[in-house]
Amino acid sequence: MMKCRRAQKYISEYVDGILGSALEKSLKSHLEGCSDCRAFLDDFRTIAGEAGRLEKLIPPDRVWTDIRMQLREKRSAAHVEESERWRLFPLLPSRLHFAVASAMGILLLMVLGAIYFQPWNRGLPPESAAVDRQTLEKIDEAEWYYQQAIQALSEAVEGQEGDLAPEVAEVFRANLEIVDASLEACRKAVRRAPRDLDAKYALLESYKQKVQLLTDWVLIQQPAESEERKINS
Amino acid sequence: MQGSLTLVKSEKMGDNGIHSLKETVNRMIESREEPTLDELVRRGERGDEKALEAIYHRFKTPLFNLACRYTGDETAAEDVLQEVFLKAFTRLSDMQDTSRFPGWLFRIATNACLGHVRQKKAERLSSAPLTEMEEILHAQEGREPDIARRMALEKAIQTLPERLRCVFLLHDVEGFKHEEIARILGCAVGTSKSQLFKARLRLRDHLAKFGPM
Repeated sequence: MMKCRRAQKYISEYVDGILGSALEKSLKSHLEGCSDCRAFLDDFRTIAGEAGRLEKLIPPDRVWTDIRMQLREKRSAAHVEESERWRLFPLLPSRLHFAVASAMGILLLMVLGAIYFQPWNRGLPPESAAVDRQTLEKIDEAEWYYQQAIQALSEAVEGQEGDLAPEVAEVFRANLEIVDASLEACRKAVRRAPRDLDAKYALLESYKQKVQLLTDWVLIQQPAESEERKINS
Repeated sequence: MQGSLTLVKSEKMGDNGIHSLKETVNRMIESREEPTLDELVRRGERGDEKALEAIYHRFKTPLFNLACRYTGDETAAEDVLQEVFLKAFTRLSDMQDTSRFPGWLFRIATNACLGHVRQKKAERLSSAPLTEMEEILHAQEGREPDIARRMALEKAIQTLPERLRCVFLLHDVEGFKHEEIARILGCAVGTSKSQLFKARLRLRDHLAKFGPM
């Protein structure tokens, strides 16, 4: 059986017709036997009913007049402010101008960033790019010396070629072909990417191998020549 | 449509019948011509004064009633009304879903009322003083019981704590549902229900001082 205190809590929702059916049944059962709660229900019904019938107060017309006046003042103030802004700062942005200016600003930043970071320098800042330029110049210089050395050694090899044992000369020629092929591949890589340091280093390495091979060729003939001189003497 | 209906005056239809028919037709015409709230809000957003005026007239009475009874002061209620509409009309562009417009307007109103009440809190008393009760009892003399009861209720509402008063006014006077009140006041539905119960209970206790209801 529902107690009065609990019943009174449900009476408010019962008056509004939003009490669940099970609780409503239980409450009704309590109300049948409880005159205090019935009086409570009557009072709540009276209060809710009277509240709905309270006098409807109408605001005086001056309220709208005041609101309209203030809205007009606000609009006019905003208009004056806008005109003033255009007069004093004709280039000051409106919302559209601001959007366009923002877009232009972003574009400018991107261009400046690109100039600063130089993606063609693989994202390196200008200082690093300057170092690279210097390195490339030195590499070009080293390449020129390698070419000079190779030319001189090749001439030496050509001059002595007939003196070397044919099977040894064959091995050297085979090795030379491999080194030349590697050299040619590196040259192609450098032609494709003239500022690529890795390609340049690979080219230098190929030159170095060729220089080494030609040096070995020249040196390997030296003992044979010395032996020949000894026999002749 | 109006013409055809007003011309149909059958013998069975008396003057009252014609009158009610005319009223019905006028209502139909009014409702057909009356722009929707969404349309008014969009037009108002573009600065259409007529639309703003139509919005004002649509909501002025319930908002003014709420403000009057919340603040207990008609002059303050006029200020609240101005504050509410000025704020709402300058922020119409924030209103994406116009179905929420009434709730939004009442939220602005309850906040504005609360601001006024707090501003004058020092001057206010939490319950009606004895002299005021005597005044009410004196005013009730010779009046119809219903009117006397309403007057007592008006006074009793003023004695409620702010939050209870607000929920009571929104629910019992303005007819909002608990779900709507919860949205307006930013509270749980259960809180709205329990505050309404407390408000009615206090009013009952207060009104009991003036005799049986």
